[in-house]
Amino acid sequence: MAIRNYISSAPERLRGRSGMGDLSTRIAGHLGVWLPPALTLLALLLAPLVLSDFRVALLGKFLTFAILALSLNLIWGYAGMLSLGHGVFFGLGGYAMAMYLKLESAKGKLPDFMFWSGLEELPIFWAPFKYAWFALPMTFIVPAALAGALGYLVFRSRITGVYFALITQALALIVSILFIGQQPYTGGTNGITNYSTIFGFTLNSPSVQLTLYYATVLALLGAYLLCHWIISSRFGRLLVAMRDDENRVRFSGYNPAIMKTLVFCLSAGIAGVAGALFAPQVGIISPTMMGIVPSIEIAIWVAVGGRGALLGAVLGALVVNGAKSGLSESFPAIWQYFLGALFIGAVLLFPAGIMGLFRKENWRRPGWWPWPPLNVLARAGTTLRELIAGVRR
Amino acid sequence: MNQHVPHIRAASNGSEAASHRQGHILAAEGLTVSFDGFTVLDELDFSMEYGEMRFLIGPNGAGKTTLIDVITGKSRPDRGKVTFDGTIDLTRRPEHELVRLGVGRKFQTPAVFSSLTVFENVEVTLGFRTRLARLLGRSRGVDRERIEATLERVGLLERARHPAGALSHGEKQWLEIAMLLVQEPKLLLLDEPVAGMTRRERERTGELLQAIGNDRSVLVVEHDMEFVRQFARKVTVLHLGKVLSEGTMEDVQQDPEVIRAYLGHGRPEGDGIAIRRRPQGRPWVPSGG
Repeated sequence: MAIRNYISSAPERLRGRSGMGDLSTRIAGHLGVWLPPALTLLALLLAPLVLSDFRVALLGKFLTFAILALSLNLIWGYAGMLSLGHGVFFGLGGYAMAMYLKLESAKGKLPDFMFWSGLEELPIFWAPFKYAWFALPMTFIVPAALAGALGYLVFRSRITGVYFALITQALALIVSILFIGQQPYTGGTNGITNYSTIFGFTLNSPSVQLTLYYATVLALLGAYLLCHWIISSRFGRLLVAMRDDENRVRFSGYNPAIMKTLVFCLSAGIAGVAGALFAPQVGIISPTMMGIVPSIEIAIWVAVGGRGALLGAVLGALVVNGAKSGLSESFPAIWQYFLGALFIGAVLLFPAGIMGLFRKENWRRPGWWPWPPLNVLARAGTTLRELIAGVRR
Repeated sequence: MNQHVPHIRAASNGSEAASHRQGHILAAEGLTVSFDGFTVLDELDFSMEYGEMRFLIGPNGAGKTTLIDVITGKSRPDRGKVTFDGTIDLTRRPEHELVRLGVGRKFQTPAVFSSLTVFENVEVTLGFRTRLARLLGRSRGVDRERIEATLERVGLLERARHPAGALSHGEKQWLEIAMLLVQEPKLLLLDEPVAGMTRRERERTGELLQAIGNDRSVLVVEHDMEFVRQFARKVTVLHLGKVLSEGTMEDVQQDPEVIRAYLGHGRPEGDGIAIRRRPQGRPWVPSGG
């Protein structure tokens, strides 16, 4: 048969997949996958040795953002669902944790803001949060449950793309307004703050803060490994498949609504854990963390770092937040312009994010440019020239 | 849903059981579909035997794609029912369940996952009856061999590690066929499988279809009359939502009703049937049907 003749003896070449490939190629492949995150991990573990307590605390906060960015990258970078409401899930996790911290610090008394708001008894839904064994799982479960309920309704109705983004953005608005309005139960605009102990230890002591920092590094590692496991499984390829052509997935015998809901739940849960680590380190969780603006910021971290690359989300969160605090210290008056330039640059010059700069296919460069990794600068020149030419016309 | 998934068979010996079973793999009765008051399918009766390869032709707007939409659950009929495999009514179930029952569909424009590799594309569709917990693992060796065998069958084994987005138009069509074949559907619906292909690609697709037809029931919607003449055993002509004629290509071409129906839609050309040929060599533009 002609079709059979057309095929040459290719199967050997495919064996690489089945684990019998050339050893050195395999080692190189593994190095490529694991070396960058391993180096990042090492740097994070060693950071407290060289940084001041203040810087370590700041880095710890950024790391919770990195976990948050990872969770968004899982659904946006791979499954193609842009959520502009991830601040809500982060906030819910943070609130669940802060409720526990607040009750622990209040030592059986009514938390201060409830007293000011005229409450005389602890609301029923607050009561179980005085137990750590209840509060800690809730930091994952509450956001995951909200995402599950919303996700199932949205995905079952086959709402995708920009409409999904708008709905999640509306969620951010609704939840933040709700939390501001319910002052007796949520602390209103101020959120929950003024808690001093965690599991019986003084929250402000350097050793507790350092422990929290390492706990955050560990959580980041855990989230990274979890996401890596998912995206390298067949389920992960299904997520990418849904991004490419959801209809084809449906007509291949899968129910996209279920799978999208599941991954959305998981992502929201991870975001919640990030929030739970944020609350004790920063000492406050408030509705400003849940509104529209912070939710969009998360998307910016992921875009700057590189969608569809796990390490990209981590680096994006660290770089953008690091730049934000560094620039605001050095240029108090104009730092926001630098940040704006970074975002514009990300869109115009490196649309695949920081991680995209390291990909070989993005190393094509103008002939005069000597060194591939920095060809982004060369492209900046080209883009600038085009812009100027455009303005002249 | 818990049906036995047979292993891939050699193309030649086919599944005797499937092709020799009595009765209809597919039977549509009194099928009526209308969109905004316009009747697309009009009390349509249509049936296919087990192991049959049927070609569905007809002028634009005859209802060919709508019929496939109804069979695959994409459209719901206003009236009538579609019975699959003897007892199963297809018109009340969601799309993904129908696929699990054994109805596979190829779209008009090739639908593949462009950022996955060719291998991964087939791997994704192979897991369609796998439970979610198992999907979190990697593919077993058996699955890998099955994927490779399927890719070999459509001639894409060499391209297995290329991203599907880099394939040519014709190769994408074959890949989509491979993605369906690996699922071992009982009934395969192909909507214009050779649209936009070169002559050489069309010939290879025709041979592939014949090999596939040995194993299962296949329904092909096609506009390319030369292709139909070359490969069709039995042809059904659809016109204005009804079956106009049915039989071998020669019978159908002689049918005065068919000639009249086509005359209203295109220029007379050659062997009795007047067909408006689709322009070849440039990307194919879907035009309903």
